[in-house]
Amino acid sequence: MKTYLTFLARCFRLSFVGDRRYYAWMFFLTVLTLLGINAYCKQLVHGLATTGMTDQVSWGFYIANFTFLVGMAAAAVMLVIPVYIYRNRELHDLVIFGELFAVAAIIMAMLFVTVDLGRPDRFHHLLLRFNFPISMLTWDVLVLNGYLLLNLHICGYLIYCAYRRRQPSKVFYIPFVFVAIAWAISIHTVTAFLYSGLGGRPFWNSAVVAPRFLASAFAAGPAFLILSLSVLARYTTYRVPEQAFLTLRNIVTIALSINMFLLGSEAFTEFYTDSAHGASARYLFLGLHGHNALVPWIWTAIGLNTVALILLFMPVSRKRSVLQAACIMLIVGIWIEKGMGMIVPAFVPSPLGEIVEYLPTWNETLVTVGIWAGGLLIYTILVRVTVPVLTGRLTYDQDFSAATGAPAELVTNHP
Amino acid sequence: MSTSTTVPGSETQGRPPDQRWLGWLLPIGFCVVAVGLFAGSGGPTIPVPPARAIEPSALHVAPRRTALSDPAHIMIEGVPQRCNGCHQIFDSFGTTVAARNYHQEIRLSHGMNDRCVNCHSEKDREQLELRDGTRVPYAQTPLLCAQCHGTVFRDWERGTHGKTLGSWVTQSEAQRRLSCNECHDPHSPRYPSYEPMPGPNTLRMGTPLAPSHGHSASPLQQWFHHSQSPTGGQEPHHD
Amino acid sequence: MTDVRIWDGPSARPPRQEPELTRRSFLRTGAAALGGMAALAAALSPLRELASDDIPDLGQFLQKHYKEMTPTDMEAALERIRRKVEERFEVRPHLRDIKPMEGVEFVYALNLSRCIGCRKCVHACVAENNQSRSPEVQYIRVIEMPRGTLDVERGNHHYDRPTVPDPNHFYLPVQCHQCANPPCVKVCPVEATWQEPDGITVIDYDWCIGCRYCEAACPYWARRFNFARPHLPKEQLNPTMSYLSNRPREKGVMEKCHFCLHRTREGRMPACVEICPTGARKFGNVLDPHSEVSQILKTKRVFVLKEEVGTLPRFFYYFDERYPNSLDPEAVAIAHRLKAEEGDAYGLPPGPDGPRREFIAAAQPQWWNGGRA
Repeated sequence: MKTYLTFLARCFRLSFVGDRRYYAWMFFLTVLTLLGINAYCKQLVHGLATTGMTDQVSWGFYIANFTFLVGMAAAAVMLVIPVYIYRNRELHDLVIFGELFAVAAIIMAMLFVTVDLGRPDRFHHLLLRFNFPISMLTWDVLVLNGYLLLNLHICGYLIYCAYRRRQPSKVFYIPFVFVAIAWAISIHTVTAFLYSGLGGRPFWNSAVVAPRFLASAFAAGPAFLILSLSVLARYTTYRVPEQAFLTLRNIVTIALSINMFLLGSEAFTEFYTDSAHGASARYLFLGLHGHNALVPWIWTAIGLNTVALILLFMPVSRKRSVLQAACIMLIVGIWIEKGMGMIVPAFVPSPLGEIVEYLPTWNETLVTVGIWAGGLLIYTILVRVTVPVLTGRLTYDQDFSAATGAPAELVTNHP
Repeated sequence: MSTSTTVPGSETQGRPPDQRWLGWLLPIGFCVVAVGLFAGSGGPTIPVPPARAIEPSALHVAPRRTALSDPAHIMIEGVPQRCNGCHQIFDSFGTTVAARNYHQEIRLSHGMNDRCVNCHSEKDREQLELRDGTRVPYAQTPLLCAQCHGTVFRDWERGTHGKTLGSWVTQSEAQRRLSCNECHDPHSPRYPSYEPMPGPNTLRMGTPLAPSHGHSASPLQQWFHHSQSPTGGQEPHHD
Repeated sequence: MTDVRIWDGPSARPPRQEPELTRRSFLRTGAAALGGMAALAAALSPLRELASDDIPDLGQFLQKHYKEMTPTDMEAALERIRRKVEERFEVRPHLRDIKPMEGVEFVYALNLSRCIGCRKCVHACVAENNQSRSPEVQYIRVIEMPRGTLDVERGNHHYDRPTVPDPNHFYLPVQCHQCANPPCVKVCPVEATWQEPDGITVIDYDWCIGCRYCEAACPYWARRFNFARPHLPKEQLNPTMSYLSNRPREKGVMEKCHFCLHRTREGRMPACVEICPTGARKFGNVLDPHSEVSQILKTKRVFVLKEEVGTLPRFFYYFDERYPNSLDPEAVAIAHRLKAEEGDAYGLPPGPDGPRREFIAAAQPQWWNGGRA
């Protein structure tokens, strides 16, 4: 127990230690987080009228980001599956980074739901009268919290074992890994059901929403991991095997192809049928009666995704820089497509045919940026602590300074 | 991709003395942020549409009009006059349409029903009379209307036409089903036009855009036109 | 599968000296911590403007869900609300918790042939139910529809004419349909909204967490959210109120039409029915076969909006049969023909066999017996 507390204390201390770039990055994120906190305080005082949301478009940027982040969290398993089911050893160590990101993404997702609440002071009502299993939102609360705990346990256990220089006991993590794989699929499926279960919103009321969510998540999540592993490889002693990037690239390529296919299927159904239910899709892609706020967004997304897909299919994306560019493009593309492009059009036109457009306000944007910065802050700290542990510089039998010291001899650690 | 051997924290010690000031950037930066946040702590601008004054009289609950009392009277030069006040003295020139011209206070606009004696008794203008000669008390004017407006009368009796005040409870004493002439003027029964009360003016509603219906003669063509081509001209709503 | 390479770190490493905390670095760290605290305080500073009733007091915080409150709990809650209303509006409200009546299921019917689109119902509702005047919260939307369609997307919510009705349009008012299978109730994560035995779907404003899932779920756009603190001038407060209906709402909660339950559960008419100048709005107990709504369901051809979504609304629309009136082109044509054939029809005394009889007979259904049923 004492060792564990020392471990936590050391982790805490370590998160404040770094070089100039580390401090600059953390300062940058902290400032953005503070801006977000400030904007959220204003929202608390003045109400959700500080956002661009209205009775007509009652969900906006927050829920869009929430949806995207649940997908990112679920995507962590796209690393776990090859390792534990297909026994891909190259990725083995990287699973932890994927799961750390899942932890950060889940925290961000839950924060986005929280800032979207009109009465956050009544959060405890969820514990007192929980409309389970009727309300899909209660399912979401359960699966998100469960997924957070699962991932905290798996990576916490593995990291602590490394700290103790112990071989992790299979019993304590293998079953959880398999549960987490099923669970990851479930969190995004439940989030999709949140929308697709509403008969009054034809744009969402489609069976393909859940598969689309999973496909886009399994493209954007590994793409983000490619980027963060690139940063790790570049700025730390941690050696990322080349095979990891190639495996992730394959996953991204396949998932993005499926996602584009499903998007096309959805668009075909809406446009070829051309029923009144297609009004939202028309609004999204073409504009409706002169209202076209989302048209530039969605075509940007489609353009970015298409270019990214073409790049990924070409051998040139084996080059790290091209791969990174493709990843950035597809993350932005998917962020738009399943965020603004998925949530907002369902509200336009309103069920009574009224068209009120939505764009996030400045305050709302600041809150959103703040949550993203806070999430990245958490992820950075988690990675900051994990790298020395995994490279054997932060262990129970060493002095704390080992973790912060020069790592010259450790580079040889990997053959 | 070059793997740098730089490690976070590797520079914390052994920094040359001339770069020590760098460490002060952090507290200074935080202070700048604090000042900036305090300075910019004004509330965000919310485009709340101002409340609109609604004339309370517009929401006064009452039957639309007061039916004539028994016996009937009309206003002549601002003085209430009973029908028989004149009709006992003057002959009523038969029952032709020309007789109406003497009642300048009465605007008779009841479609084909353009004779006084269709409802008023030919012998006693203060009395209402069915076509078969049955007298109808003023309280039972619906019977008179029913002679022509059979389907409406049927609906009124069932409660599916007309207005009910007081209570929805069928047996309730408070329930009052308005009679024909508490809404319709018997001489000019068509409903008047109303000035509509203000339309919605909700938060961030933007500029309302009236739907356009194309220019084709066929309603179906209009619909097709309407649903296919977005008609521009109105800028999208921005926050 | 068990081979975990990164755990094979160097087995032993020489202990290092912890770097000494120099005075300078201590100062720096302290200053950074202080600066960070100041920045955090600055970020939180807008909270100073929180109004006193934005922060729930202990009683409100611990208040139970409506269905779990004992009569004592309810009385305490009512008293708390009365006090708050008195503070804010300087009026002691007549506030109660009114329970549903036995053997009553409310149904609403709206005669689209009679609605003239005057929007009196919209504003009578606002006046009755203490909605926010700014930003505006209205439960009823009246849509001006072109003839020949029931597609609301072709309607106009913002019609602004000197007078209504416009002969080329009809008017479609929409409010909460009090569905028998309400999607809004299904989705609420905290059971803050539910269906009462008399068919009214209500909201416990003190329980709602403001997630707006119900607003997304409603196919009739019947629910409203208080995006800002509701603004209601003191002199416009309706002091007769009940817990589940028209007591003043707070920022961040949902609200919607509740069929004026503080009136209707005591036998009175909803405000929108009472104000309607044409009698287009009909309200009553569908379990009573003699009620107006029962008669309408029995004798009129009614329809509901968006039947395909399976919500089973308790709000029905109907049209009247065609009446013989001046707008009826067929009846007018007959009249003109008769006049032309008879020459100076005005000179003839009216009688049972006169032109008027034929005119009426032509315009009435076969079974009509002259209105003397």
